[in-house]
Amino acid sequence: MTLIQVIVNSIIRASELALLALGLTIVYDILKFANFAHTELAMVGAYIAFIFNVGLGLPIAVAAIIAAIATGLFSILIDRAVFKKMRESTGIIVMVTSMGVGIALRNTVRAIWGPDAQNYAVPLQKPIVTAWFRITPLQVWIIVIGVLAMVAFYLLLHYTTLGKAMRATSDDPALAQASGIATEKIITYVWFIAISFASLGGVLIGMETYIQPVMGFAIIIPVFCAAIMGGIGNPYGAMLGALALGLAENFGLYINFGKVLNLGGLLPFSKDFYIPTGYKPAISFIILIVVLLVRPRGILGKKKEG
Amino acid sequence: MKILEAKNIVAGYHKSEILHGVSIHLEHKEVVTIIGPNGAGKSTLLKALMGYINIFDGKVIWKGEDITHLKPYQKVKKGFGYVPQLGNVFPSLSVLENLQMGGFTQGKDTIKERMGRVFELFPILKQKLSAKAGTLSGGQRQMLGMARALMTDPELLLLDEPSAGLSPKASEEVFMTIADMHGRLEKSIIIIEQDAYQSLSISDRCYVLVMGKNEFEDEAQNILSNPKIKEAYLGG
Ligand SMILES: Nc1ncnc2c1ncn2[C@@H]1O[C@H](COP(=O)(O)OP(=O)(O)O)[C@@H](O)[C@H]1O
Ligand SMILES: [Mg+2]
Repeated sequence: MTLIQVIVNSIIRASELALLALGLTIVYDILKFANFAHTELAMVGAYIAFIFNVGLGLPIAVAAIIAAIATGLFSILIDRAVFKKMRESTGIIVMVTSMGVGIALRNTVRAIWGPDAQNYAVPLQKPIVTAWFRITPLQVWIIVIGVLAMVAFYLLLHYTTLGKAMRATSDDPALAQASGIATEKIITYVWFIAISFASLGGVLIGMETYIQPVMGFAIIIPVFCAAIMGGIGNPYGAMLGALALGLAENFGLYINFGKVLNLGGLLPFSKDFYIPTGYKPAISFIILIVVLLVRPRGILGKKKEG
Repeated sequence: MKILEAKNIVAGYHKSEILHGVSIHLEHKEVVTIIGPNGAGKSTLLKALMGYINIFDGKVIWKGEDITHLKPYQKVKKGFGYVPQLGNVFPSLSVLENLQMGGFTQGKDTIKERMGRVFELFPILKQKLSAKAGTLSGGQRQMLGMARALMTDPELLLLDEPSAGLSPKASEEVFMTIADMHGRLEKSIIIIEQDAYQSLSISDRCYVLVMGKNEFEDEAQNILSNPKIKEAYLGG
């Protein structure tokens, strides 16, 4: 594998992770709790797209858009039914509740569709091959959608009244209300945006591999890792964290640690050592632990105002 | 004409009762100062009036209408403007964005027009439009907080310790501006202060609050000119 291929793979992975980490981080920013149901909602979105794509025969792009909207609305329902009653509770209680919601979602999907992996009805991807790397059209789409989502989100936050009101609510909800902002309405929009993005991420991951009830659970660590590494609550941090993690995961498998250990041949022993592919999920887990130990507020995280 | 009347307000946080039946009122275009020792419940009273905390008993009447249980953003629509003591600006937003948020309930044209008027009152803000509010000095923040509240052109302003933590000079500027908001913009104003000389000098009346209850009330002039009362409530 060429170096460029590793970088391309990293960017593809980062685009998927960013779509998910962004939503996790803005929900945290406004509602002050880590939503453990976040990636499970992405999985729900992937299955809703499955209904429209495989069940009803719609093109996957249409199914993905319908799923994004439907899952976004569904998350608003969950908020009304569960989280809204807990606005005054501490983050840890709400977080544990969100774990319960996540488990319920996963098992409901498993009860309906069974535990096995399934595929979308998408035409076989013929890779574009260049001298340095190969990439499938789908992967190009993943990058394009990821980048577009980031740009759209930046424009939303800085150039629209809704985005500014979201930032104001995050800064100081009481003062936002004193400015006439109905913060509950803002929260509704935040859920919709966060979970539609997550659903889109879920569908893209499902298109690249397959969908399965455990797919949300499987990506929870990398997504949390990306969000926390960038500084949870900071949307640009989530994007940066996703990129950093994408690179770490792919370079982690690419680097010959045997060469690292003998300092590139300086030391007299030589033995190739690569991290086995099966340990890829462990990379984000280890990075998460290191980040939490060394710099828990992440790269771009604000210091707690004291 | 009474525009605001708070009758026997009993309120507090969750289940702990802080205000045990406080009554105040405000005439149209009046400036009233509420003083009292630390912990008396002055800030709590403003939060209750704004609708941030539950009012267990009593009524808030605004121009004859019972608005006791309206939410803060609904009170803003009625004509309330509130500048809290702490957290009076959005620190990560620019000065311009703070003002835009102040005008959240207003149309684009109105926001533009109000901003022009606000800059007449707070020329310093015009030079700092793109600065993050979190980087402003205490005095500038207070100015921005009041400017933000003025963006809805409220009839009533509730100011919680506007001079707290400010240098004497900055505090004087703040009170001059408050006097202006009253004189030029004809706002009705409730000010909370611990150190109340400056505040009383621009006020019509004053309430003294102690341990969640009305202790005393009088014309501001009477309090300032009566050594005994001054000694009792302003510490001489
Ligand atoms: N958020 C809160 N939760 C619980 N108790 C509070 C809260 N804020 C203030 N208090 C209590 O209410 C009482 C009155 O506080 P406050 O209204 O801030 O007094 P003041 O503004 O007159 O100094 C104090 O005993 C204070 O401890
Ligand atoms: Mg106070």
